[in-house]
Amino acid sequence: MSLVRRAARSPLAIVVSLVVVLLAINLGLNPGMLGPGQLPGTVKLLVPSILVAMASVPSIMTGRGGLDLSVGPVLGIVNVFLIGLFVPYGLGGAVASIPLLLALGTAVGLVNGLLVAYVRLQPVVVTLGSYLVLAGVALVVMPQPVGGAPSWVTALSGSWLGGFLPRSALLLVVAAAGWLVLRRLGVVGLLLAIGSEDRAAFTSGIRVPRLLCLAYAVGGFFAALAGIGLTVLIQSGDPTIGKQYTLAAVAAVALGGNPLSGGRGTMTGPVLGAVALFLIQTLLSGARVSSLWIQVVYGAVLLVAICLNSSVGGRLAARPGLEVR
Amino acid sequence: MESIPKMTTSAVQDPAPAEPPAVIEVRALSKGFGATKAVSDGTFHVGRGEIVALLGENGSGKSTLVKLVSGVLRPDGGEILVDGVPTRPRSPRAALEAGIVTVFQEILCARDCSVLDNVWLGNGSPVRSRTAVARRRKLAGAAWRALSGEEIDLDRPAGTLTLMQQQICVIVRALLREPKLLILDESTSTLDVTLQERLFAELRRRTSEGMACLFISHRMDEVLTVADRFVALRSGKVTATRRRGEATAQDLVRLISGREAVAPVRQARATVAGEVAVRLTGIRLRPTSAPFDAEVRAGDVIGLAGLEGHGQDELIKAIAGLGPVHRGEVLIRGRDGLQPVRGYRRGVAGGTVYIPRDRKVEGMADVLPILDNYGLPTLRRDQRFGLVRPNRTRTRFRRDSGTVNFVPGKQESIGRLSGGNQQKVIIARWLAAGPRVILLNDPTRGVDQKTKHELYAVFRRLAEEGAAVVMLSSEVDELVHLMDRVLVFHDGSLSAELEGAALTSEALVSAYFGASRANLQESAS
Amino acid sequence: MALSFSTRGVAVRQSFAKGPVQVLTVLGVFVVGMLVVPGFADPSSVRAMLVIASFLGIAAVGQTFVILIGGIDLSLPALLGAGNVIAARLAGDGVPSPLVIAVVLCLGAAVGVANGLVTALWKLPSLVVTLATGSLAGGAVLLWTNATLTGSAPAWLTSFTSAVSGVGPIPLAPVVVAWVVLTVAAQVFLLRSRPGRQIQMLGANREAARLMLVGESRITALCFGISGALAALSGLLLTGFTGAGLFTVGDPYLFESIAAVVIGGTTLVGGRGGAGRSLLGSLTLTTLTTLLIGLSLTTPAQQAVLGAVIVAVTALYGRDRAVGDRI
Repeated sequence: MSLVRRAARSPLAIVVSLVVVLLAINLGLNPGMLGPGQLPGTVKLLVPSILVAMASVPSIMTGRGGLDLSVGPVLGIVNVFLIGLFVPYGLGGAVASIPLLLALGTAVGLVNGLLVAYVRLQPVVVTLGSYLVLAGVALVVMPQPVGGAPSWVTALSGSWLGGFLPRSALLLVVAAAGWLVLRRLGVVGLLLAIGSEDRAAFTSGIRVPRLLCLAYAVGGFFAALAGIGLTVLIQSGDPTIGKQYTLAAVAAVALGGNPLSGGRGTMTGPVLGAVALFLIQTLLSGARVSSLWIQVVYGAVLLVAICLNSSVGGRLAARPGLEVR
Repeated sequence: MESIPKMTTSAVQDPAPAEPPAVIEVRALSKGFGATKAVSDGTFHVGRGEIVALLGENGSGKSTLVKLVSGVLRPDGGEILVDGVPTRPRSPRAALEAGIVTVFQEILCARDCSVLDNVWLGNGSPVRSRTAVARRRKLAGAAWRALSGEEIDLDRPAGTLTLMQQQICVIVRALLREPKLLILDESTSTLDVTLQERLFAELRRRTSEGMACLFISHRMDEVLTVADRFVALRSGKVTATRRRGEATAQDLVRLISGREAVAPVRQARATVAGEVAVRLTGIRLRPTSAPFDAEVRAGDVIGLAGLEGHGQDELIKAIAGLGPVHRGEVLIRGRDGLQPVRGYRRGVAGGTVYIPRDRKVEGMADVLPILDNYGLPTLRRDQRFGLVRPNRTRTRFRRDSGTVNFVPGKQESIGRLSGGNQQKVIIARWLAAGPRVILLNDPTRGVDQKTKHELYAVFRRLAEEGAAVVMLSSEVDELVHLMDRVLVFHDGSLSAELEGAALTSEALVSAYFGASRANLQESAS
Repeated sequence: MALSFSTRGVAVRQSFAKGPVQVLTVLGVFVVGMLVVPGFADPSSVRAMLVIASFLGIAAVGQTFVILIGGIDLSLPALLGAGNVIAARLAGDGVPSPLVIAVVLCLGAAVGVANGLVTALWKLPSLVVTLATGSLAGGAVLLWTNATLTGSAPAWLTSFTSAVSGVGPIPLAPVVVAWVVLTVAAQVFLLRSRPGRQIQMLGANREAARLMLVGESRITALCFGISGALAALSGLLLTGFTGAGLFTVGDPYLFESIAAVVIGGTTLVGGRGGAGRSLLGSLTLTTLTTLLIGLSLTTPAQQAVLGAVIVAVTALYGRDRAVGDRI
């Protein structure tokens, strides 16, 4: 009983139950969904969404409105640079391009971080700026969608582990491992402490600016992984597709129960949030509803879920504050 | 790997030499902000095993001096020597590495993080191996027990702690670093009497092992109890240094303010109490507490006291309409006579005003002008044709600021005022509402001696003019000297109601610990 | 610095005067344009720029109200698109213009008030709430119109937003005059009305504001309501400019409105800023875009430069205090 009650009060309660319910309905309509026939395709679709949700987590954790709007365009630019620049210039091989792409994403994050931490600009302004820059550059480099993915990208879309997963799930493994290492090293704890009260962290000798840079850089790294995942998914270059991931990532984080004000939060929640958002879409498109309906339902579910999240979270965070009536 | 905290000294050698070796020596430190010089000549030293009190009024540069030594601010000139070696702490991190650990005036707790993470914040390697966590847990638990005498759930988020526990949390954080020099900047203001004594005992234990301590407090009794030496700071300059026993409280006040001390004379009430303003019947603050009745009349200045978290805070908030009581009835005089409390807004409309405890969080918006912070709740009367006339607000403010003894200066933003002046603006705000009942939640916290006495006079005058003043206070002197009557709470119950000759500091303190009413009356007679 | 009503003089004039950096920024960009792009300062060019700026400016005034209380309104493009489509559709169906305007404003305000109430009552981040309601409202409008160009603009609206028309002796399009009047009204409201001051207090310190009798839900609903109504209004006016209703017309305004507010110098943490600043911000943004077009940059390249400029301009005057200064 107490276990149930504890579980119900966990910040993950809403998102976990949402995923379970949606999965059940989806399976009811399409029993083969988790079978070897469909699963790899499904996961391949999910990989970039999950990774981009992960990308926005670290900066949000550090508080002071640390929303990273640029994660979506980073996906786009990774895709565009690979197909539109690296491949034509003979850098399309896995050994050359993967490190370059990851470095690219990390560098974008790092620049964001430097501007936030040392120039002390508001994160939304900085990442709005880099959003526009990256989205613009993507279109300059590649005005039209272009085909022609390098062979390693094609290879990554092949099946793995007896056909249950696509090889691009490896990207998830890399990201998850990276996050676990950061957690073990205590970095995540420090990011949360900064998000909760940066002055306490600063006066306790924590190098706040450096950690802020690290948080944004890690976000950029995850976004670059997501960009690779996106390229694996579409097997081509598309300069406009990345942008739309930004708001989906924010929605996933909020759905996962992480407060956008920072200081608290998990990585599991946003990942599940991304899964839930994805399941809503599959459910509706499976039911052959117009894509416009998807947008309406998407908004409604998001609204209801965050309201529920807030009433759970509100109880948790209840402080001996004042109730002005 | 984690550095194992070590004792900063090899052995306890000299109990009281004429001059213990200086752990820190500060020479001619200066710092200006724009045209104003916050500190112009900071010169003092703290020896090994010594507790030095840094005394000064608000705005004398104490906090700036502390920030310079702890690496938060960089000095414009002067020298800092740690163990005789010139050091320039360029960041808090550098200061901490040099062994200078500071507990700042503002309680800096990471609310969302656990108590365990908070007390070890930035201390040692952040790597979370199982053994390291277990070791930290043990040390943290022990340090907390040693300081507070109580157990704490180390996994609780710090935001769920009471203000006092959060204060303990930041002090424990400092102590766990085994400092060479511990700086406590107004870190005792939220601690109750027991905790203060435990802290002082801990400080003495640590100093006997060689730690040096720089202690800052506005409470003269504390300073006299704990300090070995006093350094007086006036307008950014160190003006005098006295050893313990060389100066009385009056001398110290003179050194700080350059004026004669305001003798804490018990203020006799001028008027006879009027009609009942607040009536409490059958109040039980908690399910376990005993019911009590009480009355506050117009013209009364009533104190609410007790150790932190024993019910007085709940009671004052309940009267303000900001929270419930467990059982019983709170009646309050509004426009239509005595009526049950029906929420905060209706309370204010009926003439009950509340001055909250935490100025920065609940009391004011420090980026906005003084005038906004003063006039907002009563802005309706400055309207003409739907538009606010700032000149009307200004006129009203001039009048009400006179009542609270506030002299408006050039500053526009309330954030630039001293704590005492901020409090005056907040009080003026509610005087504008024409209060019948004034509820004050520890209003003199972090306010210097001079301003404190000005505020006392204001409260007295308001009572004489017919208001009922109910004031929660954590300072024994204040309760004894200002109040007509003090309600002392213990464990959610009223443990004593002291007035007249029975209202002494001894009686108060024993009532804090739940000594029964009968006993007290006996001992008083 | 905070807009202040505690100093003497006309508060409105003063709040403009207090933003010299913002004024200089606009002038600077304009002078560069004059030097680099032939015909940049021609009256016709300036008049066209002002018309384009006015659509952004009106939406940005609404966004300012939300940002002042520490929120952000992401439903703005959806509401702008909705206003655009509904106005074109209704006008095309022959509904009288006053009714069209009333319907559009009411719908925008209604969605905005809903945003505000949900945000305040559930204590949610407005960013996510408005993301959700924007998706909801936008989807609903798209369903209604089947996502196609619909309706047509009434003739009066076309001339209202035409760069070559004027108001009496003023050689400015009526929409520009409306924008300026709206901004001044908003600024006076913020500085000199009780709710206006309450908005500033709520943004500066929520807890203290509540103890100062500021109705949190009421004020939040008010700010979001204004934002929604102005977004829809801007969409309606855009119909005159574009000639027909198209839902996606609002899309660029999401980030542009935020950028205009931020470049104007209103901080995203709430409590400090004003409508006058957003007017300057919208002007800066539009002048800059025109300059970049004049330099024959492609749309994506313009966007990239704009992004960099937003960061650079904010670095001039929108920096936060260092941690050490907040202790």
